Amino acid sequence: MNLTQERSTPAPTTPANLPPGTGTAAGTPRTTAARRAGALAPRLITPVALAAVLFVFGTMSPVFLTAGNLLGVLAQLSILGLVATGLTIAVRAGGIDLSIGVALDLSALAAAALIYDGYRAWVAIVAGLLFGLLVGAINAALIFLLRIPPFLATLSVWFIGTSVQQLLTGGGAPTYLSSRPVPEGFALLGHGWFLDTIDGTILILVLVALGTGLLLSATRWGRAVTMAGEQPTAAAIGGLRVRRLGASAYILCSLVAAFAGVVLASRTTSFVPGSGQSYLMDAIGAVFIGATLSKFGRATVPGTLVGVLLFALLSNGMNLIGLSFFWQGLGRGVVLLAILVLGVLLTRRAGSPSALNALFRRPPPRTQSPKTSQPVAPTTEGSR
Amino acid sequence: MTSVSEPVLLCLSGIAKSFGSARALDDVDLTVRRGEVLGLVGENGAGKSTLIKILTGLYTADGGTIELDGGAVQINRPADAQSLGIHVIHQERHLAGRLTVAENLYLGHLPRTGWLDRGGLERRAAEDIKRCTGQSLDAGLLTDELTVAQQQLIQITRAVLAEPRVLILDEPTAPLASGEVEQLFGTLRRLRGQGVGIIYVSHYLQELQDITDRITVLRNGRNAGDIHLGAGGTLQDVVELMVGRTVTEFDHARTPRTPITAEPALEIEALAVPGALEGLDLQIRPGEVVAITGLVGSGVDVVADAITGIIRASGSVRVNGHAVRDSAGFVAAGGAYVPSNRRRDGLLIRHTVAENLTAASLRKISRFGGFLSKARERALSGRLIDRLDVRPADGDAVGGSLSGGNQQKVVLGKWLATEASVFILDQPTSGVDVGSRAQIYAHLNGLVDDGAAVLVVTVDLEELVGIADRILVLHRGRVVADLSGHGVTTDRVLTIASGAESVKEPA
Amino acid sequence: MSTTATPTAPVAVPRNATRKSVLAWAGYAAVVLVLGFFAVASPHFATPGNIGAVLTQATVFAVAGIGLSTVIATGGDDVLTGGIDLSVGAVCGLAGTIAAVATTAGLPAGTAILVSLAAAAAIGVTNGAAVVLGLRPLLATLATMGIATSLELVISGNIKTALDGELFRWLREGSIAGLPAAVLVLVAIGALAWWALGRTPFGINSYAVGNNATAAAVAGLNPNRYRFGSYVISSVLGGAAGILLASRLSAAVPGIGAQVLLDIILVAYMSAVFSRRLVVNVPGTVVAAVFVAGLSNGLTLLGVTSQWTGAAKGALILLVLAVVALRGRNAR
Repeated sequence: MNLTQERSTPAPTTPANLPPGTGTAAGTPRTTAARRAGALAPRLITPVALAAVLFVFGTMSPVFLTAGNLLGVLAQLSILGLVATGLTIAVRAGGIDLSIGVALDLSALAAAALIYDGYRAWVAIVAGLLFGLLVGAINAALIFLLRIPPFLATLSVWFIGTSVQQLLTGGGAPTYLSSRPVPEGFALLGHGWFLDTIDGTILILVLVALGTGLLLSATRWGRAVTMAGEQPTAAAIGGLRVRRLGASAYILCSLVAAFAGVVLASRTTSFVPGSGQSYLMDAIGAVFIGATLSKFGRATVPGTLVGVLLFALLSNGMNLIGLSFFWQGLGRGVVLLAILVLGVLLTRRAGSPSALNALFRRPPPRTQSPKTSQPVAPTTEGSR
Repeated sequence: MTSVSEPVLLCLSGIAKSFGSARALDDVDLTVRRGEVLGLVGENGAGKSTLIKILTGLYTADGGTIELDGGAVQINRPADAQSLGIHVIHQERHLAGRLTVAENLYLGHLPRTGWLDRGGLERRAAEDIKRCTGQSLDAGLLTDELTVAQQQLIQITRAVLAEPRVLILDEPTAPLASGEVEQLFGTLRRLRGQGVGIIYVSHYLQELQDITDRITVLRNGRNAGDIHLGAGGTLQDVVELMVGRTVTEFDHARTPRTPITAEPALEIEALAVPGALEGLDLQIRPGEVVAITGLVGSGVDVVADAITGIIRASGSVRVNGHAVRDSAGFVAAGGAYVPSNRRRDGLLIRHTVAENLTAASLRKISRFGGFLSKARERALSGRLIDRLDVRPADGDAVGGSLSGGNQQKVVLGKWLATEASVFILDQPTSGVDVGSRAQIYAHLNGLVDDGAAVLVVTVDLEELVGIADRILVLHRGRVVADLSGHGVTTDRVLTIASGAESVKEPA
Repeated sequence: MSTTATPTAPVAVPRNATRKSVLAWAGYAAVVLVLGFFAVASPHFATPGNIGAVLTQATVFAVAGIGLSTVIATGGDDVLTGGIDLSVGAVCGLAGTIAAVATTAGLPAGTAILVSLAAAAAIGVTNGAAVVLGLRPLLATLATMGIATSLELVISGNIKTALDGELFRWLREGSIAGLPAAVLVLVAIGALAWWALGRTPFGINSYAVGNNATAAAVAGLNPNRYRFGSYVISSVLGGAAGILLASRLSAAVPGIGAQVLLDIILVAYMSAVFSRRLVVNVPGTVVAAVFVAGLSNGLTLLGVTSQWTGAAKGALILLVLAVVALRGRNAR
């Protein structure tokens, strides 16, 4: 016999647990097949969108589907791919990193400046990565020590980082390496060719993505980070050091972005201040589009790469049919919005409290029940 | 006290409600007369909350009729209930913390004057609160700044201002001190005098005796009977109806256990959570099961989180001799925690069964210094799935898709994988079907026989009495009784927990 | 264990209300102190002309910031899941461009303003609809931010478009009783917004929805209606700010939206520091906007290079967040 009420469960199990006006689809019995189809539908949006892009531009432009063009597209997407891969880590850890552009820029700046001053390639690369480490460590400290929400913490770092760049470059003057002898090792990063056919940066992206993907999906760390990101309290109860895991994810995210910066510096043989932040919006879009591919609405490296590919093909196709650069943001924005809205609608239609729901929809509001003990932020340190 | 001659105000008859295949209410009747305070009691799952939700329009009944003042009414939405004059004071305080008392009080009914006179509004609010509850409250304070009892004044005033015909109170006194309870009762008596019908849900039986005229008892979704306290009925009768049979002595099927060693595996000293728990001392030896119970607000809902380091608490906890500072330390020292909120804190709902089972022992399924081995994961989780009889016996099934009982087996299985020796289980069988329940108990018994120390925090009295070697009863944050689990009856525990009897000396 | 993890205890301890008031006054004191320092350190800072310039500059941030504050108040201040409008900067740029292109094409100023505000409102409706459907505000407004930025490029052709006309000139140079026209606009919009958010049922209901949507729903309000409304308000005010900005610069400058976004977010969040309840609010947003404009201006007058202003703003927002986090710990 029970004496007291059970603690409230976050996942609404009955329609009445939802606040009025939330709209419920639960309660209708369905066949497993229908449910399976319903659960699958949101995951098909992105593949369908990709196919539509390929089809539409393929019919509109004879060049679009040629091997040369598609390889060109791949070569174009490598920097965005690297940035988005880094961001995937932060999103998987349950957060977001708006400062990836800062990590990218500062690292590119360091690498370019050191090459300009005649240092060796590895010095420049290591220095670039160290800047990434620094940015990541600052993010981690703000988020997990000062408990500032990730969005605002990384936004501040974006502010400060932009300013630091300006200070370091004397007000935003670009650094050009064209007049300098660039060490071959460094040039190879951005200008290498693999088997004389594939752009070296694609190979770099593939390697980094493979490494990150394996790290997230096949290692103990990746599993733990995923758990801590999705259900921090449950992860803490399971004995994981949730804050430490989160911090490491932010640091790694910045490191990958910093590596993208080094590659960018090598590819453009220059450093132009503020170039990193332009990747941010597309990277966020790619990560969340990619998450629609996952059964659990989880940010994954393969999914992110599909998102990046979608954006790259979209830009390329629009270029080929002569649509000006001005329209491209519109195209990307509309596609992003359409995919996400469709995702929400299809998930709602399916009526399952699936993970996609959790990704897209606001979590149910926390009630102010003093009886509901809410172990919110899971932590691993501190004293009793 | 009202007489039976008062006209019937609210009459529910034949109410039925099912959720899927589960029958929550079956042919339930309930009547409230004008100016009557009706007590409504029953175990959790007896159907009280469902019945209240039907009355307030959050659920729609599958069958049965609701009559108000002799006329049949339909209640399909919360707005319907409100327009009929049926108001509820929820157990959860639905208040916006950063709004002032006055703003919360009139939320949804703020005067549309074009210019809100805050001062005037606050004065009016203070007057309304004074008039409705007899207490003074600065209506300009933020709701966050109030005590829970003060927050409840807002709710009561809100309900009274709506001039209800029927007022429902769901466990209203749990957070209140005794003086505050008296003031609440004063308000209720005044309303009763005005002819309002009041339905009062509480587990504090002693209070029911003070305020109610009649008590309707639900059991397993059906009427178990009505007790007229004024007409010879006693609290003992209520307890018997709730428990479902005339309780004499609980029959222990098993022999009392003896601890394996004298060295305690779990030592808790002066564990306290501000405002919830005041100094818990406890030692559990290997091979021993200790249970903690109590009512809402007694601290029973935070004690497990406090011990395992999930919420902040003062005091000291030692597991197998190691001081525990946080949840990771608790696990590392050999602790295992099965939390009460299974879907939020226990199970990883978006991970597979195999991933859940190995979540606390990732090292065991790793190789090459950090890579997960699918083969080892499958082997370890497969063994556990067999051992625990998880259904479906599929390591790739998604955690959130399992039934409650199987989810709980998986959560428990996670700790079998770590070979933990100190188990803390918070409401381990709530929402768990009978079959899985028996299996979970069997596993617990097996663990204890193998030398585990187990602490069960539970509000399920059958479970408590059936499983524990020792029972601690919490009342308003303090341990009020320390009973030997053998020879204790459910009604005695209920009597102590509900404050109907105070135990001075720990047994 | 963490302080944030402390559950709301059954018996809450009454907190010291006066300390929060002190904290709010400390915010104002800090503003006065910093601006006072500039006044002492630079002879040019406290001149009427410069003060007018600072206020005119502040107007843009304040007007758009008020819009964003509405979204944050109604959506809750947890950024990842609560209210945020990332498109407000881009809408600012888009509205200015539309107004400039429309007047250049010969439309009267009033009509041009209406058209640009209507375009802004359309973006707001899109945001609101997506959020009500259940999209995370962060993602929804990110997408519309891209759309608005692109529309601005399409309409302007990525070139600076002059904005001229009597009304716009008046907004830039005009004054009534010595007060710059832009400041009058700020006062008017600020007063209106302060009234709407602080002194009407609409405002209190909006705060209630953002603070505890369940409580609002239980009280019979429809949270989604307020959420939807807040995004429309945000976009319209963003559009108004864009027109003011273009008037001040006498041209619509492509890409300016991205530059002002961070300032808008900064002033909206900073406003919480000036509130006893530590929630975003209208007067606080105005003060924060004046402070941020004054800070940039003062640092420039002192000869500090403009690069440091960005760092100062970043540090400022961190400081603000630290204060708010402190509040969070006390309040739990």
